[in-house]
Amino acid sequence: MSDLTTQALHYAIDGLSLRQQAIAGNLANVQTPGYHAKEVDFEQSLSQALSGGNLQGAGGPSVTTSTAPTDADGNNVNASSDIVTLQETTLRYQATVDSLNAKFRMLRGAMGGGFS
Amino acid sequence: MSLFSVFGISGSGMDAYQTWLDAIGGNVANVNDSGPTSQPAYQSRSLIVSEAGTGQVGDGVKVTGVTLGSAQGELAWEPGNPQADVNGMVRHPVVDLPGQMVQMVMAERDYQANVSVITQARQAYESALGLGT
Repeated sequence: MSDLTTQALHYAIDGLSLRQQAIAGNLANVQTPGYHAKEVDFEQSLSQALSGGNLQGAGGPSVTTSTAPTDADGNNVNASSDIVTLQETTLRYQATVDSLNAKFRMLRGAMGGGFS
Repeated sequence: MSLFSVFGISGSGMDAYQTWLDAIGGNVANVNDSGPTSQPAYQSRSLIVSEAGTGQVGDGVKVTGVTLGSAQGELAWEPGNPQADVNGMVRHPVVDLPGQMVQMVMAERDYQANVSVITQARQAYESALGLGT
């Protein structure tokens, strides 16, 4: 049941969800002295694993700390770019969930349950 | 990590910025206080915030303390003031009003940023809850 498509979409949903949490944390800490923004990357490990044909060996999404220049407080959260990324992340999350739903519809149709 | 963890993270942010707004409100409300020189002046409050938890994704923010401004304040000669001492002096607090107004705008914007994260996360969670239906 869990073929490569489903696994890849699942992996993307996990990564996007973690990115949303990281951005939420960054925006909550936008005034915290010494706070360094967190960034999530899952695209690299996903595409690497996909080119190998299976996701068994793919590690989880990676969380890194931003090395961008800090302000006088030692904080380097970029609120505007975080909000833009947040919008993008939400849309991509929804698109990925839609794709997963389409996959499930195909499976349901193949099992005789109707494609709609 | 809870099921809808963004709500907790951004909720902690809203909480912190609400507290900041409360502190600013208190400072601005007391900007024109006066008191006898025998008593300390109103001390303007500023918050200490730090990252909650151990620095993992999903920890949010928390208010860890308050720093108080000068209790010394500044003395002014107001012989007509009923609180004046024998020399006609009263004590006023030192509140940086323009600074407070700037901080108020910042706290308000940051509060709104956290609310918008919650709105976005809600849309994502709603779509996930519709999976397979």
